[in-house]
Amino acid sequence: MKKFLTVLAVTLLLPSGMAAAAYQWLIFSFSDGSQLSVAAENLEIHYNQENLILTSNQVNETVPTATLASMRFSDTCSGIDGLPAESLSGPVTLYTLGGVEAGKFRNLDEARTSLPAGTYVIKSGAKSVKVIFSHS
Amino acid sequence: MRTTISLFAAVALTVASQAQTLSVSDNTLTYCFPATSDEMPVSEGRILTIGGKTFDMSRFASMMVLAESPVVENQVMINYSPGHTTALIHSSVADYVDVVIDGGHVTVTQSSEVSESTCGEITYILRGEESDGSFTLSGSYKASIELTGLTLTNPAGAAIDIQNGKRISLSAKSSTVNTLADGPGSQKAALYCKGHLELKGKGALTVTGHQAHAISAKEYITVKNLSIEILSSAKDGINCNQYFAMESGTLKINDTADDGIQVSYKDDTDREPEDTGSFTLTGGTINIGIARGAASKGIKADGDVVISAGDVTISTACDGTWDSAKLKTKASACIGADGNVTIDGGTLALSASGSGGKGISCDGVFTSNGGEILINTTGGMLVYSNGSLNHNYTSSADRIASDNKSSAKGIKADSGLVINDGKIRVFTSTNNAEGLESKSTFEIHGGEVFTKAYDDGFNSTSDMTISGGKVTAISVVGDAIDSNANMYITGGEVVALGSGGMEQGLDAADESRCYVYITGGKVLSFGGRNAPVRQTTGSQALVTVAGKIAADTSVSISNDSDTLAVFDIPEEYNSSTGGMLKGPGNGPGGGGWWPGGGSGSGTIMISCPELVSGSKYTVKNGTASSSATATISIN
Repeated sequence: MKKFLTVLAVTLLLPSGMAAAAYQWLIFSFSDGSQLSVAAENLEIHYNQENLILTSNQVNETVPTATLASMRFSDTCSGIDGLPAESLSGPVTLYTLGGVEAGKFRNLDEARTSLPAGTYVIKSGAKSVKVIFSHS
Repeated sequence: MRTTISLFAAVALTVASQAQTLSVSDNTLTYCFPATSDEMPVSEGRILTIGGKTFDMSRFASMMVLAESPVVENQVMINYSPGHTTALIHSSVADYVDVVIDGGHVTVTQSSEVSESTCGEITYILRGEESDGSFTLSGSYKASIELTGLTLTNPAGAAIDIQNGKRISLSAKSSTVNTLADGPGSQKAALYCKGHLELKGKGALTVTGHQAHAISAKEYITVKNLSIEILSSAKDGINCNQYFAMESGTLKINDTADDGIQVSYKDDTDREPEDTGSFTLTGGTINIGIARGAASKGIKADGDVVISAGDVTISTACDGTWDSAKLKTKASACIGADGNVTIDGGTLALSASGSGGKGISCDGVFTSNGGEILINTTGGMLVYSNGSLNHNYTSSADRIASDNKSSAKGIKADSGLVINDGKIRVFTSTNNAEGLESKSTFEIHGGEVFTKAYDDGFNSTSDMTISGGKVTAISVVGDAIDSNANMYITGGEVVALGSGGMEQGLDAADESRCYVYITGGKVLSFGGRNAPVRQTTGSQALVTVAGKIAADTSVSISNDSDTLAVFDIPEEYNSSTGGMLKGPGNGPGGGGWWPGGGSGSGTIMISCPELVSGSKYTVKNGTASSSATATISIN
């Protein structure tokens, strides 16, 4: 019963509380299995000559559409396909696009709040995922 | 329990996902999709599919992630802006509307698949400003239109054209000001609806119809809360079929070239029950001022007019004209009905200054059950003769065919006139202008009725009955109360102040062996002579004395001990210009036969229940006093 009441209380608060809640990520999946997670907040996307130009406050990224397979929103990075769950909830290591280690963090959220806005790569086994942080 | 939790969770997700939105735009049309975790496939490097709807990104080149959606479920929002009118379409109706924007002109085709089982009713929000724009909506399922601050002018057609035969709700949202105007074209109105139009909202809507009507619907129109102003129109201010019903709000109509409000039958035969052609007012305020159209009416209904509450002010200054199709004159009226007119409550202030103009005119029965009516007509008598119109005919019109003339009247009812309650005051001032006229029977059972008419105060073609109420009738050149059949007074308080000469206070058609019968009530009649009062079962005695009557005085009758009745002479009575014309030929007729000829003196008749035939009574008239013996009849 306590669990039910807890869920009920949360639900009743949703109209006000959840209105501000939103998906943090827009994930772009490509035909080669790679993915790009971009902070969704205030993101603008413009199609231009077979590229998507992604911009927000501090993000300026070009994504070729030739191999783009799909897009979707995700609450957290738990939605990144191909990455072990522990990479998302556990410690992660992020690299710059030039391959330089940007830092080790307890989880991805800590990395997002710690690192400057920009594009980073998370490596996990054979998979790598680009992540774009924007700080509004 | 698990089911319950899942349900709440589903609701939570729905609410959450409706806030954040992915908009997809081609710079004119923008589709808004609630953000979800569903895959949005991309093919061919440019074809994006969201929720089953595909977009070619080479055209819909702009996407944005919005914290909140500018439109909610089932909404389409049109933002008018000079040079850049845009539409926002919620994904829930994206498959059911086709929106085309050409400059400031927006055409929406609502799919025939729209129904309660698909997306349900769609709401179109219109806002912004455009001096060369329009909104056209077609479809076959009911729809709502919300105006949230719109100024829209179409220089070549309707501003809003609803080609949808279903129920259209059009509201001006609270505190918003909205203006519509049209231009030359084939449209029926600046705001036209093919279906039934429900006008509502607590905002303001101003409409100008340069081509035809200002507002028109092929079916009924209702008004609730809305503040509507018609600035001008080339035809009617509001034109609709089936019926017009207003329950609240304000409606101001000015400068129409035809009627203020016209309600017609939708079908001449095989009418649906709601096809009543009626005008109904149950609340709100109506103010109509028209002066342009020949014989235009403030309110015109093919069916009945029923007013039970609200305030109505109508001023018409439209001259009458010759109807070449019907070969008869036609005149303006503040309220005109082919059916009945029933006043159950509210207040009406009506004034008509055009030739032949009337306060209320109906082919059916006029009935007053309450409310207050004030009518003032000042238009001249209309006569059509030898192909020309005389708008101020001042000679005798008795020898002119009825189809060739039309007189100003306060209330004219062709099928009967019944006053059960309410307060009615009527003033007329021109040739042949009667106060209240029934082409059939005339009944007063209660209320308070006052008229000062140039011609007869009351006139009926058939029997007249007064059983109650406070009744005052003054005629300047005619009878105060004139029945062209019998007149039965069974109750009430009656003061009838007629003209002189042959004109009377009470007049029945004695030439047709019809007479006045008094069996009750307190009655004062003054005129050039008395009509025959005949005895019948329960007849009440009466006295007659000669004398003059002056305004703001009183006439009383008493026996040795008691005052039995007192009649106040109203200040509106004028014995020099009104009740008593001075000398033959001074009346409107200009001929010697026209009534008049009095020198101010006439005959006073008084009847009240306490009088006993054969007994003597004292009549006090102002400061004068005379004695008279009661009798049961006058021959």
